[in-house]
Amino acid sequence: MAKGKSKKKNSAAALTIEPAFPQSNETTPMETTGRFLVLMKEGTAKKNIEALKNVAGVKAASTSDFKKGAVNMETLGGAQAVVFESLGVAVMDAPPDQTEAVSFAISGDNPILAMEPERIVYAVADAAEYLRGYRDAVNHLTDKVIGLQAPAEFSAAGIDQSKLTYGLQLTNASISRFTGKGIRVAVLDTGMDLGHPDFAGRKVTAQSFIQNEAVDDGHGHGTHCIGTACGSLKPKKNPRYGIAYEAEIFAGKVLSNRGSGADGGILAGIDWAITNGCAVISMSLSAPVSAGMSFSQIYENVGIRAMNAGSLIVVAAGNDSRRSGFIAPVGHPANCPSILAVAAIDSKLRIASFSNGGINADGGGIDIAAPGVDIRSSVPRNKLYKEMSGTSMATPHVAGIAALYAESDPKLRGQALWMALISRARRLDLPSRDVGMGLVQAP
Amino acid sequence: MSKVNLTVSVANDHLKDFSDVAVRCRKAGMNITQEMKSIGMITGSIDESALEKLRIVKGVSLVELERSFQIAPPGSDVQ
Repeated sequence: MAKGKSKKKNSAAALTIEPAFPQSNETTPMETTGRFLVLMKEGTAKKNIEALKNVAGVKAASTSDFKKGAVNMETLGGAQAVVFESLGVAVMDAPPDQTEAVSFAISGDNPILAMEPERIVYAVADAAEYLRGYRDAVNHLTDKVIGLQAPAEFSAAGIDQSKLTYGLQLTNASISRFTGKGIRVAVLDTGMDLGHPDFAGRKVTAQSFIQNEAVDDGHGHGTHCIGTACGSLKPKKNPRYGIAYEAEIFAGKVLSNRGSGADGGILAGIDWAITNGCAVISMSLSAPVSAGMSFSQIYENVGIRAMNAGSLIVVAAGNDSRRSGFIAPVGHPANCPSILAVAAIDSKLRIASFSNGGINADGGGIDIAAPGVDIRSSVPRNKLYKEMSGTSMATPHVAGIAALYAESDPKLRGQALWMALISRARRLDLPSRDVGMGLVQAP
Repeated sequence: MSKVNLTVSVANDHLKDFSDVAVRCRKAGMNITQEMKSIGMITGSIDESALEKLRIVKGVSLVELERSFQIAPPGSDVQ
């Protein structure tokens, strides 16, 4: 199978795989490690491990086999491949004949979608560093497989907000042909003003998980978040501020009118949303974590199980930073690898001063960014509208746009929905520590 | 004895007999608030002294103490 050539490490010549990273300078050869990144269909790590075994006899392990996902990426923990449980990507270091067999399996009847040589820059010591490094590779692979192209350049300067909020414009939600129709979106927050005129005639299912409090939003935060994710095409008063205006709303009250909540209510809300078939679960809540603190294994399990059930959990990264002096780590539970962490940017595409960053290892990075400064949306009567700032406001932009993707293709659920969101994100001239893959873009 | 609120994750290979795991948690002293099958989680409270006993219940993979969340009051600059 190996045809007696290219056994040398750092060469991929025997394989019919195009270089993944177009070089700006053609004379510079791509530095590769001899290992490969394999993109796999959504599904459990177990299935992907089986597939690698079946097509090429590759002995693969899952990141979840290692304590806290802390697999040593230099040795792959002794396995021939390590499957990233949450993202459907494997890193493979197998002999050439087995590598070739995997490449031949692409587009066959198996979960293997694409592969490409691993760049030298990824060969770093720990899994979290590695995850940060491979974001671009994942993006390139998904672009190739899904065939999605990034939209054209845009200018953020001089945005007219008389008819549309800047958030809808910068994300292209304002020109999307999708509406969220047929998609259930859960917003787990402080409840909702069910009598707000902009939601008249909308199908809303509401449930309080706070003892002795009805679902009515006595705070304002929940109605604002629901407004951004699912608000009306034609609000009582311009500008339009809502994205998935035909989505079915599930308003779960997991934070009290005073803005407080606990795991018990939040997990009950997530369970309710999944049981009701919500493709998107938006949570604009965060508990601060300190530098070096690991993520909650419980919420990580919840994130994985939710994705397996077809629900994507989107969570605010938290507002604990005081930039430029201090960048706080992504909060709980956004710091879980299988929960989408959302950062906030402003109308000039600058990182919001309060937005948390990817400081901690173990998956505690930012995944995507969205508008979160001076965001106009609905608040309870009789005020009706208000501008608010926070990663709380960025999160429902991502949730609403996730609903548009979910409507565009019934296969885009769970992990596939995650991949669609991050692969279509617009690159920003900001570090991925702050904005992950960039600014969320509507389909 | 002080009571603590907590979340129990049922192990992947015990999701099928989720209810049996819940029964065993009760026997270990857990006062169950909610059983959430779709995410394989059980929430409730227990005497702090019984925590270690709960951790070794068959089918329990993780036990975490409850965290609380607090968003900013209405009118704050940053939400």
